[in-house]
Amino acid sequence: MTLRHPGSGAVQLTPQLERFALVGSPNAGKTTLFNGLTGLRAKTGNYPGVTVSRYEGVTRFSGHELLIEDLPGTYSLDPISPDESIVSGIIDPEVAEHDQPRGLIALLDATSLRRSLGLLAQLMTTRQPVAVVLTFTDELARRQGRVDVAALSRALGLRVIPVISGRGDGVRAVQEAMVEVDSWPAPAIVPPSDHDELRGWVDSVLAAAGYQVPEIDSRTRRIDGLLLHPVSGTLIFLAVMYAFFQIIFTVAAPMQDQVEAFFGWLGGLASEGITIGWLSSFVSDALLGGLGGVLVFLPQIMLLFVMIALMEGTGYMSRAAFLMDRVMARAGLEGRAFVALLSSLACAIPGIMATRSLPSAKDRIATIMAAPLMTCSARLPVYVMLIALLVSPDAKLGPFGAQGTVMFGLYLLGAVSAMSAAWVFKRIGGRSGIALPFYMEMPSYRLPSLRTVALTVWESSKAFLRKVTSIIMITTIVMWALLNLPLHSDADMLAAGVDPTDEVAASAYVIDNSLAASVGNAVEPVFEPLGFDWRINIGVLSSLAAREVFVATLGQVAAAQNPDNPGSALQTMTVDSGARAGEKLFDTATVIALLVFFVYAMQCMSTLGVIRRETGTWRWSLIAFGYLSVLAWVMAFAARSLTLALL
Amino acid sequence: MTMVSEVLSARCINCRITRPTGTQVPLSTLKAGVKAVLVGFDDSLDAPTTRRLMDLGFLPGRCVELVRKAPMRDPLMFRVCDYELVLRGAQAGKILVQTEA
Amino acid sequence: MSTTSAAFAVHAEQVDHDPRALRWVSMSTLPGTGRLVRCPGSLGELLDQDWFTDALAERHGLWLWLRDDLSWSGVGQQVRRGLVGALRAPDQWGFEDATEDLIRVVLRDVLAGETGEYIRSHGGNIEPTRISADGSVELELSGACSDCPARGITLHDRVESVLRERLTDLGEISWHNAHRESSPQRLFHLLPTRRR
Repeated sequence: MTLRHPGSGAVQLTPQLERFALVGSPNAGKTTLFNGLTGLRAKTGNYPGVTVSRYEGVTRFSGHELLIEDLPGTYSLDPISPDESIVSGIIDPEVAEHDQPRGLIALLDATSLRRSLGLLAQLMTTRQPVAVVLTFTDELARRQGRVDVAALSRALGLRVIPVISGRGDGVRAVQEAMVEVDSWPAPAIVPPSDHDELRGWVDSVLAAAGYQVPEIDSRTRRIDGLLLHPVSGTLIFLAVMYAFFQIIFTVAAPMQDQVEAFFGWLGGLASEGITIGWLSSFVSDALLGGLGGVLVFLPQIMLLFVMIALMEGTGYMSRAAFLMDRVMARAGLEGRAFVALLSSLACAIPGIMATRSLPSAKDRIATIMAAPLMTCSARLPVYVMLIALLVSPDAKLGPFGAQGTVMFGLYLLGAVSAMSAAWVFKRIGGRSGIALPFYMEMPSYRLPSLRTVALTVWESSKAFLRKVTSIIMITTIVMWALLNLPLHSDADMLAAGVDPTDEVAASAYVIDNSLAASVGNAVEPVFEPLGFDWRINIGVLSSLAAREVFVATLGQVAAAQNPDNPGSALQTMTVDSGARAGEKLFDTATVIALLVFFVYAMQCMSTLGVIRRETGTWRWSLIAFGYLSVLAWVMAFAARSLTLALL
Repeated sequence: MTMVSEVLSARCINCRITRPTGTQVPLSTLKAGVKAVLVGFDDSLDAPTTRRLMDLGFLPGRCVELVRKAPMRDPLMFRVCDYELVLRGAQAGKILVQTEA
Repeated sequence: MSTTSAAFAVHAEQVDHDPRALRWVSMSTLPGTGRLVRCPGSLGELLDQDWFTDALAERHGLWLWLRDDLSWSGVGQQVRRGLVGALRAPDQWGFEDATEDLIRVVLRDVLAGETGEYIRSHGGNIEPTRISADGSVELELSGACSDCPARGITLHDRVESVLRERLTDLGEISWHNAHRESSPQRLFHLLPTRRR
C-alpha cells in the first residue's frame, strides 16, 4: 500500500547537508532528543499531499553541520493510512531512491524494548545504516530492570547509544555517532519478518543482552488505581476540569488586577505627559487601550498553558483521553481529540497543534474544524463586556449569579457546537479508506523536566504573543486611524452645528463621520437583521483579525462619547438611523445576538494561519472561515428572533 | 510494491483464525488480572488492522492481561509486551486468546 | 513475561574478523557440543551439501562457517529456518569430538569481547599458550596486569567463569607465571627510591 510520490516528498527544507532521520514510537523521547540536538533551530513544513507536519533541524557538532529530520512517531513501517505511507516512503529505499537519509537513528524506549525491537527489525530489513539510541535507561533501572548495552549491541550487530533525556552528554554521544556514520556496524543478516521467527529473534536478543524486564511500575499502577477508578477517577477528572475553569476566572484575578492597574497608570501618564492631542489619543486609545485590554488576560492564558503542559508532561493527558474516549466516540472522534479540544479552551492555536497526536487524518481535520468553537480566552474580554451590558452583577438566576450562569451557558454552547461540528465533518469526510483502529499507549507517570514544560509553554505562547504584538497592535492602530479620519477643521464642525470647543461633541462628530462609520454603514444590510448598527459592525469587522480588538474598538467609540465613563456610554448608546432608530443599541436581544455571534464566528487570523500550516493547504482555513461565518450569522439571527419572541 | 512493503504485508497470513475452538476466546471477555496467551486473530478482522496489532506487540505466543476498563466499560487497558496499551472493545473482541488455567 | 516456544528463539551474531562465520545464539541449550556432523531437517540437508566449511557447537551457540561461494545475506534466512526446525528434534543431532578447536574459537571470542576489553583497558593482555585435546588450557597474562597482586582474584576468576559457562568440556586452566606470588621485595619496587 505504498504510494509513490515523485521525489518521495523528501525534498529537504534545508538541502546540501547530510540528513539523518529520527525514527521511533511516540512517547519514546524523540521530541526531547530532537529538541536537544536542534535547540530552537527547527523548521516546520508539511509533507506533500497529507496533513502531517514535518520537522527538520540542524545540529552543530565540532565543525560539522548535520540535518535531522524528526519523523512522526510510529510503531511500524507497515502503513495503514496515506499519512503513514509518506513516512515509510522516506525510509523505504525503493521509494526514497536518491533522497534516502544518510543514516537512520532508531529511538527505542528501554522499558518497552520487547515491543520496540519489532520496529527496529523492520528498519534493519531496509539494509540502511541504522544506529540505536536507547532512552529511559534511568527509568529502567528505577524499576529494577536492566540491560547490558554492549551485549545488546553485539546481539543486534548495531551501534547502541544509551541516553538519558535532558542530559547533555547523551546529545553529544548521538552527535558523535552521526559524524562517525561511515563506521556504523551492520549485521550480516537482517532479522526475520515472519511473526514467530521475529518473536524468537526478539526474545533471543533480549536474553543475550541480559534484559531484565522492568517491574510493573507500581507507582503508576497505584496512582492509576485512583485516577482511573470508575468512581474516584471520574470525580478527580471532574475536579481537574473544574480547577481548569477556576484558573480562568478566579486564580488569575489578582494578577489581572495588577496588569489592569499598570495599564491604568500608564494611561494616566500618557494623557498627562503627552500634550499633542492626536498623539495622546493615539497612545492611550490605540496603543494602551488595545494592548491593555488583551494583556490583562495574559496571566490567565499563561497559567492555562502551564497547566496543560504539566498535564501533558506528567502523563495525565493520556488518562484524560482514556476516560473521555467513549464520549468522544459518540462524535465519531477518539479520546486524544478531547485533549486537543481542552487545550483550545486556552487558545485554539495550541489546540489545533495538539491534533498531531491523532493518527487518523479524518479525525485531525474534524477536530481542527471544531477547535475554534471551543470558548478560547480571547472571547472572554468580549463576553465580560457584553454580559455586563446584559445583566447587572447582582442579578441572580435562582441560587446562581446571573452573570456566571450566562458565562457558563456560553461555554456549554461552544462545547456542544464543537462536538456537533466534529461529528458533521467526520461524517462528510467521506467513507474512503478503512476506519483506523483506536489504540493508545499509556505511559508511566513521569516528572517532567522544567525545561520540557518551559519549552511546551513557550511553543503554545509563541503564536499567541505574536498575535498580540502584531495582529492586534496593527488592527487597533488601523481602527484608531479609521475612527479619527478624515480630519475635520473647526470651520467644518461649526458648519455642521457642532461646537469645536466641546470635546465630547467634537469627538462624537469625528467618529460619526469617520471612515470607519462609512464602512460600518456600508455593511449595514448584512447585519441589520441581527440588530447591529454601524458601531457594532465596525467592531465585528475589526475583530475578524482578533476577537479582543472588539473591546478596544468599542472602547474607543464609547470613550469618544463619554471619556470618563465609557461603560455607561455603551449602556445608553442609541441607534442613529434605520429600523431601530432611537432605541437603546445594546438591548437584550441585540446583546444576546452579539454573544451568540461571537460563539460561532471565526475571528482570528492567527487561527486561520495555523490551520493552513497544520493541514498544508489554505483549503481548510477557507472552509473553516466560510462555515463558521455562515453559522454565526444564522445562529445570531435565530437567537435574536427567539429572544424577541420570548420577551 | 517494494520489497520492504511486500515483506511487511505478507506477515499475518498464518495467524488468522476462521473457527475459534472452545478454548480460544476473545480478548474482550478476559477478566482483569487473568493472564492469557495470544493465539491469533479472528478472520473477520481486516489485514491492515491485524498487522498493526502485531506491530503493537500482539504476537501469537505473547502474554496478555487486562489491567482495567474505563468507567464507561470502554476502552480497555491491556498489558502486553511489557507495556500498557489501550484498545476499544471492538478490536479486542477480534483478538483470540487462551487462558493459562 | 512472554511464553515463547524456546526452539524458535535464535539470533545471529557477527564474529570478529571472520566474515565467513556467524555464531547462532540459542536461548535453549544445544543438544550437544563439539563438531556437528548430523542434523535433522533442512539444516541437515545444508550440512550434507557442504554449505559449511565447519560447524562447531558450544552450549548456547552454533558456529557456522559458510562456504566461499555463498553469502550470509543470501542464505541467512534459510539457515535460520533450518536451525529452528532442527532444534525441534534435539535427539537427532550428532556430534564428534572437537574440543581443541571449540576451545580455541570460544576463547578467541571471549578475549575479543568485553572480558578482553576489560583486561586491555587495564593495560593487560591474555594469550593462550597451550590448548590440549583433553580440554586443559594454559593462558599467559602479560603487560601491566602480570604484576598486579589482585590479578588472582579478579582476572583469573573472571576469565575462568566466563569460559566454564560456555564450554562444558573445558578442563583445567593453568596460568603461565601464575606461581609467581607477589613478594615483599616486589612491593618495595613500587615505593619511590633515591636510587636511580
